[in-house]
Amino acid sequence: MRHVLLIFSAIIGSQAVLNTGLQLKIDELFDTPGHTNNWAVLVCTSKFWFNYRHVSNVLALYHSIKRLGVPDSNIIMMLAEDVPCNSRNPRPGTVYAARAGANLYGSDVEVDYRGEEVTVENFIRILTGRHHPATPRSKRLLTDHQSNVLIYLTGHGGDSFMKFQDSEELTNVDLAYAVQTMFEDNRYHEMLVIADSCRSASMYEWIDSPNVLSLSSSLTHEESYSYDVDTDIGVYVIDRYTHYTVNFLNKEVKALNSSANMQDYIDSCPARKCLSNTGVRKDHYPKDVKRVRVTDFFGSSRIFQHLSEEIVLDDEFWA
Amino acid sequence: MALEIAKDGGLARPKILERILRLRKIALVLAYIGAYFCSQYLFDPVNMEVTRISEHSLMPGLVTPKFDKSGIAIQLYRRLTALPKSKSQQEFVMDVFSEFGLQCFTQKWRSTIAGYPKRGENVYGFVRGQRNDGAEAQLIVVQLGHSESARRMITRMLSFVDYAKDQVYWARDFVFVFVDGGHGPDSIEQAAFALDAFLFKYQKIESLTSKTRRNATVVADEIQTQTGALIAGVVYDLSGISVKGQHIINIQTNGLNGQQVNLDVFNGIVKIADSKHHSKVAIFGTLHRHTNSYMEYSPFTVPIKALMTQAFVSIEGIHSVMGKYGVQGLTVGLSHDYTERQSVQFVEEVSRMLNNVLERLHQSYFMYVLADDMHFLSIGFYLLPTFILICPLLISAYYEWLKVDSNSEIPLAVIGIHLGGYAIYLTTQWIFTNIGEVFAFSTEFPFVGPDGCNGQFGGSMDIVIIYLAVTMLPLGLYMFSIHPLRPTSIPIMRIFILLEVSITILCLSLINFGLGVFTAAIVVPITFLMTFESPEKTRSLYRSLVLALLHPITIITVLAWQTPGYSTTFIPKKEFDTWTGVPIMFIRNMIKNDTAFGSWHFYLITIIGWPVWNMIFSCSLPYNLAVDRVAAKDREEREAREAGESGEEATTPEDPHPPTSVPTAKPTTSNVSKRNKRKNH
Repeated sequence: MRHVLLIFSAIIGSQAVLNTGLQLKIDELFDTPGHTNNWAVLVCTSKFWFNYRHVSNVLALYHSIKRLGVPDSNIIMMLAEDVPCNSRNPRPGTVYAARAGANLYGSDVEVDYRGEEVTVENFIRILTGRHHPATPRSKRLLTDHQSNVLIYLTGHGGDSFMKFQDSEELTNVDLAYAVQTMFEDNRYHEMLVIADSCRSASMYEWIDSPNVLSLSSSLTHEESYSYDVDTDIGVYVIDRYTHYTVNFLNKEVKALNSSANMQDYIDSCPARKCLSNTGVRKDHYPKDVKRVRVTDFFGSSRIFQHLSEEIVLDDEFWA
Repeated sequence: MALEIAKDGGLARPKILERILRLRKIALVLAYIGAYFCSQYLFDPVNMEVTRISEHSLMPGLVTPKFDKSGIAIQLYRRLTALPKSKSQQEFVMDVFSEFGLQCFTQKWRSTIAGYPKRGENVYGFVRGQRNDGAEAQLIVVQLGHSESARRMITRMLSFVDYAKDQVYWARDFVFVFVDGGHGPDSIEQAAFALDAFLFKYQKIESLTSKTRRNATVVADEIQTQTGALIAGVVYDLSGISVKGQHIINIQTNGLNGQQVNLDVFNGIVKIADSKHHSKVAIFGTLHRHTNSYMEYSPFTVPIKALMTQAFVSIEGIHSVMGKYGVQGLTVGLSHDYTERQSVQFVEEVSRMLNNVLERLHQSYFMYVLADDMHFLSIGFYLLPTFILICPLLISAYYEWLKVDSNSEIPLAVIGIHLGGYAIYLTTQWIFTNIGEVFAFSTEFPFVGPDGCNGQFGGSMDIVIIYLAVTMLPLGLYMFSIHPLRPTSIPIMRIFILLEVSITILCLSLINFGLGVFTAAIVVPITFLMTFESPEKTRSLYRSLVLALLHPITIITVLAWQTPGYSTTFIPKKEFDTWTGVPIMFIRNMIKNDTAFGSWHFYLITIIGWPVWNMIFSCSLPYNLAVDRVAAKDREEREAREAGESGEEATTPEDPHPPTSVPTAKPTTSNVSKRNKRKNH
């Protein structure tokens, strides 16, 4: 009986702490988020078996953000190579990001664009929302002015471009125009652009749209490096930047109420670990990144905004 | 460079060409000095590029090998060693494949070349990838044989077959070929011929044209079943060594006619040997500074050996014929002291590496010179010494071109001598292919036949002796002594010779750099000096006699004699006993390699070497010196005028008082007529 009382009082106590004192104190450390929903576009631009790590980069991040509440419906995943079914894969139907890790390619994974569908055109169509009418909703980025959007690109890059499918390139100007179009169409509230490739800092050089925070795995003159090789599979299985990103999310961001901020995330891959200097561009992001929760981009807390004024929905809305 | 207008309104020659011509007399010395120092700089490993994997997909050495069927290898070795005499190795391999549940067939083949009567029986089997589309395959070749190392290699490869069939990650099929090289001293060469027979059928060369079928040098059984295009082939043997516990793998990369394996394949195998097996790699059968850091090695040993073998060794190993069929091939001589497990794991890792290739080996280098297992020189750099060496010939050709006027004629002897060379080549090849090494003349068509043929008259003769007798005679010396060229045709003849030699050397260097550069080093001074204008007839006579001694075969014989270490594969050691033995063996090998494998040596020496040697007599023999004196006089006049007019502006069409003459300006009609006038006087 005494144990039951103790547990009961602990639950009551913790609820009180969360709802009143400590949690409120923590909330004061962060700016109030203005978004109500989160979306993510995760893109592996590389094909071929030896780019296994780019697929596992995306899948590892996919599982992390999904764990933090971003639903599959809000994740657009593009995988240029069908690594799980590649005949060179000694473990058919699986993808691993670590030697003793878990399979990242289970039945719960939804790939929206696969193989030859991963093109620059489709990527820009996703961002700008200019799809062919027959495109299903699951393949569209249905964001609005209250959406925080995470765009993650991984693959092979050069100065001012990223290679798609070994046959075409997404330039930094293409990306900047697409983001600007999103801004003009009110398709995002805040945006986090992450490029994990060699010379990836060049990818955000032309982005001038407001409320965009940009990160990269290396500076414009630097290469990015892979982290680990699985000698059972015979390939490198993850890149350094993504490895430390996922590692940070798994260790420091265990739940949506995590107090980890974006500066913590930016610092999670110093040069001694990444072997390259990570890039950060904050000049178009009005907030102090120390006052922004990591979960504002990597999680989805379903924030509801209570409206006090009366809103009349006209016929155009219902049309 | 400012262009000047000649007095006839055309463009005048740039002055830089005149300045280059002034260097003509010392051009040969300058070229040799330049080429020597250039080569010394380029071929020093310190200045070479470091090898790297250009093809990212290869990813060599990233796999943990898992072969664990050493027991199978040992068991098979015992079975093969105790094989009853009634059973051949081919049957043994067939049985083992059958036990594994895999497809395996035999292919009987025989040579259609009368001078190279070989026959044998290959065995080939397939391991098909379970999840691929069968569009591509990799080739693994092992030579059958009764030596211990051959038996060990056969059984180890069979145990790998057993292992490979159970793996699910093969993106391309395997084609295993056990080639029959016989048991003679030339077993490797015969094994190469056997592999040639297999690839000839596998690649469907025969069905491309019916003409090819008629001219095929081999008759072989059809391939019973097919798989994909061969992206690469590796020949395995146990020719590597072990020194004080240090395994040294022997890798051979030279293909036929200077072809070399894709450098990425070589680099990948070196990486696997180093990172996974802590083994060193010897190339061209030579240890180098990386294989033994305790010994002093000249940095130029390996590059020179690389060039010598590329130049003169037609069949370095069984892999040498793969290049003919577009298959990237090399021979890996695993250490003889490797255990079963280690050697098959090596095979497994190389196979995994080649399994990673995307479609084909697109990238990397095919034209390179290795200095050791970590340094190479690519074609963009190594061609430079050849360019420098042929400069004197080009300068001379330009100089002679200035002497050409409207009276000059192309001597028909050029065509005649070349046709003669071609006729000798075709006749020799035909006799060797259809009759054999020994033949007899007959009264019946085709007037030659085997010993004892109908209508035979005279004794039988060795084709090599006859070839030497025909070609060693200085036909040109006799012909041009009796019927010398017209003086006005001598410049044309010189130009023809100089350009033919230059173009041949350049083309050769592009494909077979070793042969090209060594040819240049020997032929350039001979051609330059023998075509150089002679101030007196006595000197011409002496140099013609020297030229008569400098027959291509004589030069090769002397070189082979002096550098046996570099050409032992080309000339068996026992043939070094006599001066006559060397050229006979040389020519015999060349004819055989030409007909059996398609080597260029015999073709080049007969079609180009012999005709050029004969043509040079037309220029080296005493001739009408007026043809050079007129040109020299023109030149002196021009130089005197230029000296007197130094500082003057260039002539223009509007100049009312142009210089009196521009005698050496070939394109202008005025100076041609003036020159003719002088000759008439």
